[in-house]
Amino acid sequence: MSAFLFRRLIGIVPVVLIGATLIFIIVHLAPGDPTTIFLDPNAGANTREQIAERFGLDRPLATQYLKWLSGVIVHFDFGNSFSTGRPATEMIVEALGPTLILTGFSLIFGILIGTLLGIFAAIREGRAFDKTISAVMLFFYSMPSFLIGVLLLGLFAVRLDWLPSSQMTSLFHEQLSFNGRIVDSIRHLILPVTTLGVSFSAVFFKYIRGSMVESLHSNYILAARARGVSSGKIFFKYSLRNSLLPLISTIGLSLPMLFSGALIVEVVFSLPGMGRVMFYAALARDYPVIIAAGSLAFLSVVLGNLLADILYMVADPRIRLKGRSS
Amino acid sequence: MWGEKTFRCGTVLILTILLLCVCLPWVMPQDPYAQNLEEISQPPSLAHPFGTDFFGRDLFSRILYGGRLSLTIGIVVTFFAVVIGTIIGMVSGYFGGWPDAALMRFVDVMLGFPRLFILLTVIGFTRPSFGLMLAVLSLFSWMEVARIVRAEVLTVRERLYVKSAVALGLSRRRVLFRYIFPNILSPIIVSATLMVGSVIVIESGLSFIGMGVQPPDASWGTILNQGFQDLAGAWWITLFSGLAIVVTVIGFNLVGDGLRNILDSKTGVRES
Repeated sequence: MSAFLFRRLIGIVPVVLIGATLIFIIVHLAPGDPTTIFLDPNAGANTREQIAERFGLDRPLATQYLKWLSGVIVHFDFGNSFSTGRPATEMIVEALGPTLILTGFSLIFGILIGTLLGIFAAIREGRAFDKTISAVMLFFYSMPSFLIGVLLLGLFAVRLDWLPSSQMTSLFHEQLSFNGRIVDSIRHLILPVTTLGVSFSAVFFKYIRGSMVESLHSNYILAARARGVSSGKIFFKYSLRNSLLPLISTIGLSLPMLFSGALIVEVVFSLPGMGRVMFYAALARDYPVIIAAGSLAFLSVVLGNLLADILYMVADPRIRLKGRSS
Repeated sequence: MWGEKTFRCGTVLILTILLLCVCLPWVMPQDPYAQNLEEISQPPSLAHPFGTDFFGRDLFSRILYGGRLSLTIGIVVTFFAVVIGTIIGMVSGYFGGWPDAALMRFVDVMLGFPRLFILLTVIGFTRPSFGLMLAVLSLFSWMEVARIVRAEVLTVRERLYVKSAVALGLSRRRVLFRYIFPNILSPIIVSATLMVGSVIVIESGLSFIGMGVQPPDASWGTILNQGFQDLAGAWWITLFSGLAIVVTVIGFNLVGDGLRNILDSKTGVRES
């Protein structure tokens, strides 16, 4: 087990390095010159050169790459932001909090709702309950997550004015009592978390219902029924266990999608997270920040997949005994 | 085939929308760019079934024209992504060895990027344009197809008829295109249908944050963005453009699921 873990951990190093390098290349080769952002259109050529020199953009790309790479490997330093002058990693660590809170809660919401409804729909396959829930979930499955956000925002924040429409906290957050601050934060989280959570739950619902239905029609369930095993035991012990297993890797594989969903939802609700940092860094051609953010997103996806593999191995003795994962 | 209910519902939905988007501009030629400043942000009425936006343009016509753009992007991107994915998947699955290992590592790396992030980077750094969006979306959408095709080729390759074709001394190209390709077509078609829906969703997201189709051109995402800016007033813009996206994507998902049911049961019969 630990030998396998070690091998896998070593294995992700080249993947992450290649990923970060690709991001570096894409960002630097994409047209658009960061110096123009800071330049008066009337400024002379040597002002531009001075700016390029300050950002180190005047040197050949290979030199820039080696300098960047050694910075990353030795000090985990991705360089300073062009627009704020602060270290890129610092800006991203700040933005990571809201994103993790948002995706974490939404993931819990989505897995709980999606799995529960999926189980009950599969048990009542073909009946009215199953048909209604499946139709509703297909609707949400086909809806871009930001659209759910826009509709919720329009209804609960704009029309009814029950919940705040943007940011993680109110302006007067600091003056509130401790309990008041918690309530304030929760009120700000309800809409974005519901948005992403509903979107995730539709994905997990579709998955769980499908695999439960499939396993309920398989021979081993038929055999269990023939032997007179109670239906409760068939559903929750025989069928559900088999369906939950692949869910682990489904979650792992859908991480990039979850990330993309979170990015746009953050823009809709003006949350100060990674999505907004990336969005504005892309607009401002802020190379260090966008490269650092991209590399981090890439790293988290790779780590998520690794975690899914490990959980899968813990849960499934067949894979554990074979000593390798697919 | 028509007996499959999911497939039938989806086909009807898609055909209706295609028909509306392709034909209606000729039947009811209300210019989607014509501004009528006396009718700014009017709620739905008989003259304007979906209302007007804040430039006084008829929203119904705009959504139809936007649909042309959104559907074109969805279908064209899917076509290119499926072609790239099929080629890479077939090469990888059929030849195996180091090309397979290298290509699959490449797929892993590509899958690690959140697609929206890459689009944001590439498109945000340049002036957004229609062609660029098509290219970038296609180049970052083929990985799923490649994986599916590779897995299919790996199983089909071991079938007796393929082995006998190889034993007969047919050329690799002939075996690959005449014997293997026709037999992996059905999963490709299913994933292509499902992909059209997901591309439309991604395009709408990009256009929504202002990095896709640029005004005054309109795709459904662009119109949604317009609605978002006046959510308190002109709610109908958000409602109708949102509905257009959802109905279309539901249509493609239904057809994809239906096709999978049909093709699965068919192969099931053949196996037994």
